Amino acid sequence: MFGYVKPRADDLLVKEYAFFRAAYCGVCRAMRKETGFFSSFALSYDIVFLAVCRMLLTDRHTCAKRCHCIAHPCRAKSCLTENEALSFAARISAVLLYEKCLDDKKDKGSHRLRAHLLLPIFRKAAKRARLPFLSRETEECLSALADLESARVPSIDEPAAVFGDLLGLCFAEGLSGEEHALFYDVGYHLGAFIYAADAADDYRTDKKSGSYNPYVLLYPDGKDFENGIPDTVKASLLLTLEKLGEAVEKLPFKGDATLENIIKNTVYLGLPDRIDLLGKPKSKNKNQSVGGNHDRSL
Amino acid sequence: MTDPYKILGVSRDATDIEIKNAYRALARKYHPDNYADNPDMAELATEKMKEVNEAYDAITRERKGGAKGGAKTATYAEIRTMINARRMREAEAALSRIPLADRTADWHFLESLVLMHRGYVNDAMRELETACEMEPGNMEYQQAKQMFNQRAAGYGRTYYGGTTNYNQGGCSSCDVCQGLICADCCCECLGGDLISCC
Repeated sequence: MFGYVKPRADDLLVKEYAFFRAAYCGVCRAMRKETGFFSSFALSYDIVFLAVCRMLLTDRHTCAKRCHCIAHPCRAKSCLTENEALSFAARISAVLLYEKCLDDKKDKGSHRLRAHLLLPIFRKAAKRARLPFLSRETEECLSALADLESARVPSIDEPAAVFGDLLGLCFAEGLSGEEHALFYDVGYHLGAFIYAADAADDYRTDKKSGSYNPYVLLYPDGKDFENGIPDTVKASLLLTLEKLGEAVEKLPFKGDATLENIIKNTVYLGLPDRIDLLGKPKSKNKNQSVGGNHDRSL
Repeated sequence: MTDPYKILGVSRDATDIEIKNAYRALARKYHPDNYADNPDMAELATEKMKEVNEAYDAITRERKGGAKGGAKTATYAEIRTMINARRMREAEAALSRIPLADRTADWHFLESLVLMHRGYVNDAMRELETACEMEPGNMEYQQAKQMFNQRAAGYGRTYYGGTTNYNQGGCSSCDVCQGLICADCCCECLGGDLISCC
């Protein structure tokens, strides 16, 4: 999806960081196994975060094995052995990818051709995911989002709530009762944040192209967004995160310090770090978020 | 007719999201695909689904109607009382009835309070900003803005990794010596002695 949801590596313990890396590789492997080779290209930190959250509900498999893959042919990476949460995240990712692709196809944008080409592959992957209800509900959410966008509603939170709903359903898929409510809330607030943050990030490109962006409608004067995003927008994004923090505090950690720390680090440190990078020129952006000071390789 | 809330299995004061999720869970349960190999059950499920759909429609209609009900316009003072009494739905409806041309800084401020309560933080902050721009001298707006900014700045501070100063609230060895000397002085003043060498 967006790759926003990532822990601040500097503040993780070494074992936590290693676990996170292994989970990353584990999700990738699960994708290839569950939904086909091509679907693994959609691997993102967001999906890994989903897997880490859902690992709270499975018996954890700490054992990691060394394995090779096409992205790292020479050096073996440690990779979590298969578990329910990893394959779950892989299946969710396939559904999202297919629905996103369907949605792009309807658009008149530049992604249309790509969407047409990739659709058969993604359709097959989504079919293998075996989540028919989630597919239907995702479709509903995306069409509701498209309606809001074509109506050009001058509100950030209305479309953000729809996107949050979508992600909430993904986080809570297959659960019931209280667990459903807890995980739905985490997904909901995370989705709402991602939507708002992504819109703020795209302010300048959307202003130029004229495509829908609530920030362009609410801040018609482009001056505020010249050097990154204005302070009030930053503050309101942080207040959105506050809700996410409240939801995360209620998750059933059951004394699993590694998972707890990865999740809380992502929410309390990783996401605020991301806010500071919003709206900045892309090249600089990339340096800092991928290879820069907040990352280290083991 | 039976209570639609009972059919969905939610309480009357459930949020819109809770109702939607309860509806979705039931829609999954009674979906005809689940009973493809059992026509009798499928028929029963279809009937049940119809009931659930009706209940959900009834609730959404009722909630929407409640927001629109009443045509008279309320004054800002009245809306303020509604907000203080936590009658948010009513306040929201009253605010939306005020025509665009009559929307003062106060309107934007009250709207931001209502939106904040609904969890629409980003829109609320934008409304608050508008109110501050329209009436820069108003202390109430400024204070609200400052409060939210402070709350935002405090985000994540309780998480250990975010605090750069690990020495907060602790008692260093220096503090201990200082305390002892102080206690010694006090004792000497009263004629006693705590540390005999000084």
